[in-house]
Amino acid sequence: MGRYIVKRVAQSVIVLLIVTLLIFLVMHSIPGNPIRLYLGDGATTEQIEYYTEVFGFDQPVLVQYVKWLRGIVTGEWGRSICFATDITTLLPDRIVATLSVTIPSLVISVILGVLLGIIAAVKRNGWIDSLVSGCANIGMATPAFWLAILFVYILALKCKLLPVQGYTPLTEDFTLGVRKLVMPVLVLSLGSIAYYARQTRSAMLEVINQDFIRTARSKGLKERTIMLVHALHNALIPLVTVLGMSIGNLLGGTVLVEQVFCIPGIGSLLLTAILNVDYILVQDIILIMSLFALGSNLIVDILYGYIDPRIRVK
Amino acid sequence: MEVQKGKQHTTAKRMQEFAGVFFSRKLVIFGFIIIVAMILLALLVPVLSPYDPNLSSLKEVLRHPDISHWLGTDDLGRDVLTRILYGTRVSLLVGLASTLVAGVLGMALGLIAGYMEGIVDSVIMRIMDAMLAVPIVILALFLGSALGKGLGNIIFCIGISMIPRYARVTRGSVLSVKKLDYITAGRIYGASRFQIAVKHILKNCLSSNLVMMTMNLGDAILTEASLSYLAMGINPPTASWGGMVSNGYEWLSMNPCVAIAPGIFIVLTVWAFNVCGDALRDVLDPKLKGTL
Repeated sequence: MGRYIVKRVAQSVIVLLIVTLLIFLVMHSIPGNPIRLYLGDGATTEQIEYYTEVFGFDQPVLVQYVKWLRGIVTGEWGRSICFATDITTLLPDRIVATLSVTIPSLVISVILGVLLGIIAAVKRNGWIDSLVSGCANIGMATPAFWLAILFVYILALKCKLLPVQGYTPLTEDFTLGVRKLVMPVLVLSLGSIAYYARQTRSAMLEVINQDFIRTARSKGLKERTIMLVHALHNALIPLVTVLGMSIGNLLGGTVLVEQVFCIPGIGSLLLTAILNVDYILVQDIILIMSLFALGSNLIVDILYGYIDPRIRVK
Repeated sequence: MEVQKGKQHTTAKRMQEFAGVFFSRKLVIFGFIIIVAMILLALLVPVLSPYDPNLSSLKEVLRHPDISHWLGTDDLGRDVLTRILYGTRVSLLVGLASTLVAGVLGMALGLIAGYMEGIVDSVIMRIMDAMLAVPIVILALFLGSALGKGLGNIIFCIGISMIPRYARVTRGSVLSVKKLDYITAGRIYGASRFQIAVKHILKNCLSSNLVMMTMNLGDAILTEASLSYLAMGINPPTASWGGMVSNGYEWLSMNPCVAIAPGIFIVLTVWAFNVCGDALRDVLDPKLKGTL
């Protein structure tokens, strides 16, 4: 098991290194000097030269890459051009804001999605199955940003139940913060609930048709025990993988949800950075996002190795 | 003559069988009708609608739905329904073209990786892993920031960000097909490496890739809408569903139709493509059930 973990960690680190290299190369293939873009046409040549030197954009690309990478490891994440501050001071609050939307939504969507998927699989071809599968198909076709606007219109503008948009840190004013988070969390969850329900249903159906379930039935076990203990345990293995892979999609979804609800998270920060061609900030944020995605994949893979001994050998 | 007749008969019968399985669920018929309707509407808008999608008329700003404007008008007095129908063109075009880009490039890379193995394989697949580590919307957004906005660039960005799935699936089936006897037989007969790779191996991977492409069409349309919503996609004033929702959000309390109606079209279209993709998978490749 130790060897398996070491191997998976090493693989993830290599992939992460390639991610950084690709991000860096694409970012630096953008024509034009970012300093000139930021300062505008009114800037003098001296100003541009001075700031280009301060940010190190005059050095060869490879040197810049190594410098950036060394900074990431030592905790110096560089300076943002458009915010004119160190990126490390900028990020923590943003990450907290994003996580306070994504974590509740992850918990809700896993619980509800798996539950609905099990019910649909057990009552296969019944009306509950049709309803769950139908809703899941529609849910997967619904763009998060549009659903968010629909919620704003119905819940905030028409029924006046919740504040339209905005973000208040939970430590500042808990009730107001929660009230503002309800809609973003709901919107972000619905798509994932649909996805998990679909995946759980098909994973369960695959298991239900196998011989050992028939054996369990002929042994006279209760249907509930068969489904929740024997079937679910085996269906969990593919489900956990799906879960690990979908963390990335959740992060992609937050960019849109944060934009609609004006939440100052890393998603909206990424948009600002992209619009302002803020090289280092864009690189850092995409690095963080892929770090989260790769990290969750890694954890899942290691868990997977514990659950299913066959994986370790491969 | 008779032989030919017999042949025609079997093809017709096979088509019938195919259609029988494909349309076995009522939902698929509904989805198929939606797709056909969308294509027709996209082609026929100039005939069907008396309005210009981009011409603003300040006398008719933010009108509520009535007989002359079925879905009302937006903040520049443009007919919402007309713009939605013109947006269908953008969505379908970007969806089809970017899926094609992804499928063709992904298959090519997967074929090279699986056929060559060794260092080429490792390099290609590690790059694919790296691309998969970045969420699709973020990857497309990021590539878009480097390439710039506009129709061609968006197609390219969305296409590239979907490549890894095709490369992985193709590589997997290449590796398994390669070991089969008929490939060895072909080699003994003196077929060149290129011939074997393209004619014999690629042919085998085609159906699973086609199924995946149909299933990804909806995703591609959703991604385009998301990018356009974030003002990183199709440039205004060209009508795109995502851009219209974004614009309508500002006027939500005055005329909700402007933001909400285009979204309904997105949901319908993506849903229809997903349902038809599922059905096509069940027909062409029942083995893939649950894996894609």
